[in-house]
Amino acid sequence: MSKELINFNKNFNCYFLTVRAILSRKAEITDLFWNQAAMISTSEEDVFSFTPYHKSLPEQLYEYFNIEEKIISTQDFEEFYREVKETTALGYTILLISDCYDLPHTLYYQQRFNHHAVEIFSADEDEVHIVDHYYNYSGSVPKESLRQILLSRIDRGEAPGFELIYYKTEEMSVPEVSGFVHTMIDINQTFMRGGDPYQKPNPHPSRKLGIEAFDEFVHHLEHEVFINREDNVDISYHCLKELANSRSNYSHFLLMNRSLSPEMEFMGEGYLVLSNLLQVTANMVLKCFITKRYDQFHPRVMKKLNEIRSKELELLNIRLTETIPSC
Amino acid sequence: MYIQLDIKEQLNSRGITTFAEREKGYLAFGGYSFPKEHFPKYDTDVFSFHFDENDNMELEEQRLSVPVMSYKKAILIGCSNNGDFFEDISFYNGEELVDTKRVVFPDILSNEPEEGPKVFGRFPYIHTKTTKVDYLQPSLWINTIEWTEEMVFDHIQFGDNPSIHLFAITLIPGSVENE
Repeated sequence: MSKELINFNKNFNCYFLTVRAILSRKAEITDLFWNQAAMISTSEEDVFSFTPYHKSLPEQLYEYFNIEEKIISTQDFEEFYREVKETTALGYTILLISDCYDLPHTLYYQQRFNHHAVEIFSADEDEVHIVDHYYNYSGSVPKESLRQILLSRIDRGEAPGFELIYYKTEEMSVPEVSGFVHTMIDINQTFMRGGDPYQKPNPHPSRKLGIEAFDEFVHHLEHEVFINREDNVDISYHCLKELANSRSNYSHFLLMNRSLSPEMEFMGEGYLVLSNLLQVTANMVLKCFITKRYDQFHPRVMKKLNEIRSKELELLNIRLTETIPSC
Repeated sequence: MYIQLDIKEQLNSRGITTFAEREKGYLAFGGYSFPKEHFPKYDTDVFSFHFDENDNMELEEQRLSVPVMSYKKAILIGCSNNGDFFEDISFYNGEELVDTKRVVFPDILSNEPEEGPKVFGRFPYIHTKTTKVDYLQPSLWINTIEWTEEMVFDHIQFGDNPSIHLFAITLIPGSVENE
């Protein structure tokens, strides 16, 4: 069933990495799945959010590829464990949401809470074999330890019950690639220009799209990190990191389809530069937070954010032309 | 002939520690460092490393003066933390920009890419601030810049990218005499 047991890639968060690994055991086309590169911000009841994603991954997998996410949730651990055994026996591997705090192989074990996705690769009577793609780790977890790991999340109110997720790929279909690629580019560009191709009904008044959302984010970051000097910089750091991941994956998506348009390669290379810039900036924010050298990092981070804005606008101005097939 | 650049004044980070010193490691935010006892053997005629309080240079727009002459190669030993990074390095002769090269440094925990940088040294475990982790095998990377036409320059300008750490830089002169 497995190609590579551990499917590591720095440009994916643990959730995407795990879903990608699960699907790569069933499909050859997982590179097509990661193509969202928008910007959307909201600020509801003082909670600021900023994301490059305009559609959830399960929604996108279902809409374009007919891959169905199945969630089984129960209050009874024995029933959960039975489902794990039956599901893996059917040839599926499982997405399990746990927490770094409870996983001994992670750097944050017993130190810091952080939702963390891993794959259950197989299960027998007494233990499961997990693969942690983010930490490059695979190993066994005894049944009782698994119960404790999941119970901790339930006790902290982070999960409604013992929950497993898997993906039904039997009915999977592949869209016509050229049309699909152009549709995704069109959706991303529409968002980045401030439009909503989905025409979401009754959006929150604070919702901003594209460059306007980025400006909101910059304003938030400057206050969180440099003016208020908050106790943590999680939102700023993770938003930059996820934005970088989205641009890197989008770059890969464009470059693997470079034959469709002469401008595709230039655009793909541009998003790679953007991703690098965003990751550098994310690391600067974290470094500033750890070293408390606010005055030194403030102008450097703001300069990088300006470069990012300019690059986004530059890439938005690229007009794709069709490649004329040679005779 | 090799010209080992003196980067001592530019060192601003610690990335190599003994087990006893592991708390001083600062290659990544978790406090990673390479274990000194497994540092790869190297030709001292070619590379010069520092094993002091600071041993590497995080890129912060440093300008590095070099002997004015014609060069055919530059060799850089380094790594990235918290991601795979690239950065454009500019070579100047006085005020004149003579060339810019993009160099890639993978993360200390990345696998060797198909193209570009190679493993300079692979370590059997990694130090964190509190312990050693033997299921992680970090790498230090070597990057070679080659010019098809020899370049005359007198300084190197780095970008602002503190995620990239340089441990040693060596230049290989060409044959063209500088005017």
